[in-house]
Amino acid sequence: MIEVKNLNKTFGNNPVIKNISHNFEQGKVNLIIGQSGSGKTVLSKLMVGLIKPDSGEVYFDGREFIGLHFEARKEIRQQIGMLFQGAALFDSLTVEENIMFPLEMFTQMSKSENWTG
Amino acid sequence: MNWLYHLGRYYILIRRTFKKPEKGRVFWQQLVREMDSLGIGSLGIVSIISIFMGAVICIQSAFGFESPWIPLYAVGLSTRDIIILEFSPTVVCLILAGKVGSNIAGEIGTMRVTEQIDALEIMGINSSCYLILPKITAAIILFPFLIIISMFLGLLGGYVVGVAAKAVTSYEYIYGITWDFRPFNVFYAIFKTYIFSFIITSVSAYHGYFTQGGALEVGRSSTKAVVYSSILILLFNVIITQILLS
Repeated sequence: MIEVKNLNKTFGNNPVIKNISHNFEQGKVNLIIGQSGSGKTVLSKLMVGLIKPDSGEVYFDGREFIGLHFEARKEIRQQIGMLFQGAALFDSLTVEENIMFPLEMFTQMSKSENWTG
Repeated sequence: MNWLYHLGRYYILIRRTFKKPEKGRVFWQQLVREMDSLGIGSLGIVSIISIFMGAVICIQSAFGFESPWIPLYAVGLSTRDIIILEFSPTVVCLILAGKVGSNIAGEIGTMRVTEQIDALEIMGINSSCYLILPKITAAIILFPFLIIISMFLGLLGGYVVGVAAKAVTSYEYIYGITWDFRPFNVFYAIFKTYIFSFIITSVSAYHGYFTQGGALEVGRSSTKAVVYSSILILLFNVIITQILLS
């Protein structure tokens, strides 16, 4: 379960996320809807720690996420999948290399094993 | 106090960069790619500039030493010292700051604005270590070799043009470049190159990594990378020279 508590984020003088709290329960599909510029992407990025909030907390299965050290965060992040607005594919890599990138980084399999496996 | 903010952020980035890479095999692949791109890819421009600058330094030295009191071998001597002490390590590194620095800032900046860096972070990859460490390592390994090649080609350019233009004889030039040769000067040049390599790659990567916005900001980051790298090279040139040669 992902728990968001009193999350706030301001860019300059523009408060984008104002005191948001919510529980995203396991097994449920949650949908965040809003106008363009209302802060949907910012909220998603705050939840996965890509942006640091001004205040508030995020819990993954009861573990506080924001204040975690990089190594501990890494453990949780490896369970997160995120599809970016602009696809965020690595343009220096081929399609095949893009698909195999996580396997290349996190497994001991060779390139040929990755492809056939 | 804006510079303190940047200095702190730069320090944090560098501390995150010098961590153990996620996977050794991937790091070596990246390193070889960067060595080819940053080092081998710069060989052409370094060679051309070194040959022509060596030639010009030789002719200008000959022009300046038109006195019966100054021996002709002084042309070779001054060409050697200018090339080894200043031209190859400093001027060539300033040129590399323009070529390599803008390339690094542009590449990393584009990855930032197209969320490729965010994608790396989401996967649990230390993005600064993955992207920046191979670039810094490649530059530190290869730039000293580029500088040694630049020294050799600069002296060769001076010899060919100096002799062809009859500014100096072959014997006098070779006598001049070998007279009172101090190996410490080469050490000094290589030491400077190590520092400059780190400045070029880390400062450019810093500007690229913290790019915010779109294509326009990527261009601005590239410009900033070149400007700040060049200023820091000039500043550290004075500091290192004062420490090692005074």
